Amino acid sequence: MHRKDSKIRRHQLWGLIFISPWIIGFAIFQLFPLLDSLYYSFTNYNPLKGCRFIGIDNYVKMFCKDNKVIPSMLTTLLYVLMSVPAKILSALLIALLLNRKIRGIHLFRTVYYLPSIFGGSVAISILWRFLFKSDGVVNHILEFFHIAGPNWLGSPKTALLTVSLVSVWQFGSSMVLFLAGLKQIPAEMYESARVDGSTSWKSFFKITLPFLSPVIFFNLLMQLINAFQEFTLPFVITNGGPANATYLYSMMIYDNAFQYLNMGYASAESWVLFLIMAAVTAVIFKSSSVWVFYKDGA
Amino acid sequence: MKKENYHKVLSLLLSVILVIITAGCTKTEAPPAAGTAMSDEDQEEITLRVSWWGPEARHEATLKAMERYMELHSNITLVGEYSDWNGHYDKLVTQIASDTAPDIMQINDRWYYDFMSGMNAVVDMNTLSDYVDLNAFDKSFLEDYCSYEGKLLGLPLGVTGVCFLYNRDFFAEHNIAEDTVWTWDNLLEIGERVHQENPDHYLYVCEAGEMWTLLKCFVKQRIGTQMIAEDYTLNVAPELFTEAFEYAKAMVDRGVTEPFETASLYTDVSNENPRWINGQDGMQIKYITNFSRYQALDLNYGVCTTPVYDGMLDTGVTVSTGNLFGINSKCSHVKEAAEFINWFVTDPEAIRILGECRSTQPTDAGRRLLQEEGISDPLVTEAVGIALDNASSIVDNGVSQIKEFETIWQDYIEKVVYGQMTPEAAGQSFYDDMINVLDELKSFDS
Repeated sequence: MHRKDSKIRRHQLWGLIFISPWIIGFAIFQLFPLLDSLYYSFTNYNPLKGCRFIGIDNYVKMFCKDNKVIPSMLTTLLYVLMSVPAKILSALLIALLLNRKIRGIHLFRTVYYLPSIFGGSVAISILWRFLFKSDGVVNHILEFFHIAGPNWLGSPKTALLTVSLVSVWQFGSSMVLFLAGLKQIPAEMYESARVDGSTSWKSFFKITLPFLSPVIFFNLLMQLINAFQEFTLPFVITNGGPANATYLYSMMIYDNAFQYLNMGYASAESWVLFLIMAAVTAVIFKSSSVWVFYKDGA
Repeated sequence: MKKENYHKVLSLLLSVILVIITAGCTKTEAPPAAGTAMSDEDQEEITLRVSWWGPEARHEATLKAMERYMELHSNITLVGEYSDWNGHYDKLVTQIASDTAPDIMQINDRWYYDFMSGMNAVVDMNTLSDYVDLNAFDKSFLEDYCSYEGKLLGLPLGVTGVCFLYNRDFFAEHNIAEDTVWTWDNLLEIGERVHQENPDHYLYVCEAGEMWTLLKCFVKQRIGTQMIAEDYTLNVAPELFTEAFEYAKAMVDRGVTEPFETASLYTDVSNENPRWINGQDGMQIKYITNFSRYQALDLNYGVCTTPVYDGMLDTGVTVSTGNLFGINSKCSHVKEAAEFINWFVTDPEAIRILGECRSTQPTDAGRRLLQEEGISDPLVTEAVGIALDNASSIVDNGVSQIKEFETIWQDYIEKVVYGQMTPEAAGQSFYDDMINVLDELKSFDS
């Protein structure tokens, strides 16, 4: 018995040794900055001036004095509501198409994944800006069809919608997960349904979606977290304008930290964002028991 | 091999790989850090990092000058770190805060407060008179435009200012006399007429940042003093902010300036605005340091001073050095850095290489040299002359140049211009915001 215990402990020790590079990296590069920022959120830390403990002043300022916080929170929420469903639906649609047995399917899968490799890089964002300028490629194409395109990025009415649309093209990682999920659905299920006279639509809603619900759940969480933290696209394409129409919360954190050097205040804003994201995640987790189905019934 | 032995061998192998990887990630011999030196038989080998921002022409000229300096000083290695204006400040501040800033930094005259109010980020060049020729510069220029609380933050790289840059062909087409003395009233009147004559034409073009530069002039003319006093008192009443916002709104509503919807797509790069390139916009406010971007275009330019009005208390025309070369206070080779900067701004060879990539030369000798050799650009020379002749008697103090003042002002300009706020509401709200910001700064600095 004693020998067995020591063997288990030895195994655990080896496990810890092997995982230690990650643990050390996590502690230094994530945990420590996280806790550090929590401390700074209660200070007026300015990297060129110093740091003084000011209690909850930063949090009070956020909600009582700073008239940019609430508008940027609402803008971010709107962005999340527009971009996340659009991205998930696009990923699902393309995954369904790529799940078919057609010639050159591997090439298509690679090509559709490419945007996720390019991701939200600065270069790609600049490209989007050129495409959506009032005299850009998109409007020239619309002009060809005798449609007067809007001023996509110049008008406060359309700028956020445009940035949200642009973000949709990075659906590759969600698409791959959906594709993997689709492959897991037993073909017999569809055959049985067909024998019972089910239509394709009915099969989609009664078989595909329930089987994919764990993947949808995962994708939804990841995309929500990413969308709440979106920065590069609006920063490069519109720089938060026009008239703060695309001034997302992450941009406000950036401005306070690096433009105004109010690192303490920016830390407080980051923690509020963290809490909002944690709350949203918790709600989705809680609701998952209603709409997420696992094969083993868990 | 037994299963147990196999596991042992595998564990051993993985451990060895881990040790190798860890060792590979560890610096066994750190390379010389920036500004640190290695011994040599004859001379100390020194590496200096030099950072600046600007357009391509400036990068090329600066790199060429650095190369020449390295040819002349074989023990010095200069490493250039250059970028566009956008994001340069953020990067530099982060580097300073983390002790990784370059040895020599191009500093904007709007950063003095940030760099010096808390910590001395750069060396006081007054202490380096053994290595730099301060007599080559106008003493009052160094004191007024390059110093903060008596400390000389660097050597000026040029003399610049604000003026109107206009398209002469556009003026001719709309019968606008080039010697027009622009007032705030006739700017609106002539601008409205131009747009009525040709609805596709606008006399003026600007986005929020350039509108801010114009309105700053508007406000300074009316108060005749610092916008923010040294004791953090805001010297501008909400009513004056309202008046300024009303003017901005009138410019847009009366078709004087190109709508922000299109102009704002070319923030900081209005030289890329197709309307400007095609001669559909006639005039804009510019810092002379940016002229090189515009001169690459095939347009016929003229320059004139910004609007005035009878009874103004000050011209409001900003004149500055634009940029300085300062030395990082953590630099290990201050003497060598100072010698390089001195060469960069005073040596005839460097002056010939650099030309007017940072506006006109900062020294009399430099300007004379470029003129004698026909290197100077007449437009830049004229613009600097106009700016200097009309220079504001109020050199913005540090606190008037804080970033928040600029960005919050621009936010309200956009809100007014896009019709999201009335000028009255914006004037009061901007005033209240600034009071909050200044209270915070005051409590921090006290």
